Amino acid sequence: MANTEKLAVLKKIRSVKKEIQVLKETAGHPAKKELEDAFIFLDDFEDELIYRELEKRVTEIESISKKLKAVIKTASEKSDDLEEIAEKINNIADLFSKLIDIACKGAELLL
Amino acid sequence: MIKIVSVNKLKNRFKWLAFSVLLTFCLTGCVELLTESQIREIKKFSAASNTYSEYPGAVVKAHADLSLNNQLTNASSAVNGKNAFGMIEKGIEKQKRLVALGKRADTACRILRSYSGILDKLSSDSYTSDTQASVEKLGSQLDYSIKEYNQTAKSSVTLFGGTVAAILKGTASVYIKNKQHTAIKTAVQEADPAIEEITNTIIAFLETYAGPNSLEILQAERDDLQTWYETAGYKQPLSTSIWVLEKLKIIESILMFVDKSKKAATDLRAAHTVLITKIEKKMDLKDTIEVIETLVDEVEAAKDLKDKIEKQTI
Repeated sequence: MANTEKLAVLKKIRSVKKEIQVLKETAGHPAKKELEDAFIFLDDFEDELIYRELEKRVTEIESISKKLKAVIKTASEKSDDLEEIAEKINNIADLFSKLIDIACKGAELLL
Repeated sequence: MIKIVSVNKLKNRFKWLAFSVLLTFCLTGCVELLTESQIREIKKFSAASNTYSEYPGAVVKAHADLSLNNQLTNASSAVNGKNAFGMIEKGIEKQKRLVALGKRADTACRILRSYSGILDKLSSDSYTSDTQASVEKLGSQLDYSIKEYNQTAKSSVTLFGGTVAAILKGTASVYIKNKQHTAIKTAVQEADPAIEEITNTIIAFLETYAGPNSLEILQAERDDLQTWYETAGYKQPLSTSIWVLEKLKIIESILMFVDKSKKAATDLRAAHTVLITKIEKKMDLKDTIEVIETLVDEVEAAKDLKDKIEKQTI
């Protein structure tokens, strides 16, 4: 159902529901029951139309969020790479510290 | 003595050479560093999207409660108990269905939070600060070794561990900040179409509640309540009127919330556009100055490290 059609149907349902509510208050007992059943039927139909429309939008948001998830995954990998670079710098600095220590001890022994 | 002067000269030349090379790279645009204003922009976007991610779900939840209330009002004037009970049951069922939908919207929108989280992480200074301790240790070890050597060999080689650590820290920081800039630039460029799509869809979703040519869900709930009150509710005790008044106020608040949420989605989109412009744009003089300031900050931080090491070893 196209959006304009949907809106037209909803408008009609709401207007009939309103008329029913007004009529129900002045109607006699058997008619009152019939009117209320019609109201419940229309109310259910309106709810279903609204729910489907909302669900359609939420499904769209879910589908776009998957695209963004892929970007986040790549960015996360880059963050891991950066952590790895920082760790490599740490390892190199540690290695140099150890080498200096060895070289110094070696020099002491030679002197 | 001649040897010591040479070491000092070499040390200074190396320091200035390293700084000059980095500065030249910055000025020619070969090295793009993550600047303070870019980080500020990321933080702004991050704070906005963090809060925003909960809005669409909150609207559905409010709708669910409102809808149950309207079923209760209808039940209170039903023709028989069976119908009344059926209306209450339907209200509960409808509320459950909408709450579940709201949760789905929440989960999907939480991706905005994850996105801002990763931008925060990529712009954090933890990558550079992590290298501080090991570089500091290297500088101290070097100075300690020179001191030991001076004592053993009765020589007077100047301590230069602090300088080595400062150069190493400065170079590592600039290298990492350049990598951070590239990673953020790629992320925001790749995310931009999805950010545009998701904000547009959220706006369309919110417009089903209140907007031009929309389903006008909230207005319909209000109309239902009004018609019920005008035909049946007004006959009931004063507490019913107070209850209706409360519901009307709630509907008014939800309408305002929907309106603000729509505006916030537009602002979120705009904030991402600003962010992408800020990250992507070619450097003008102001940006170049900021990049140099970033570089100078790194050099200053490295100098602080040098001073710290020299204080420890003297």
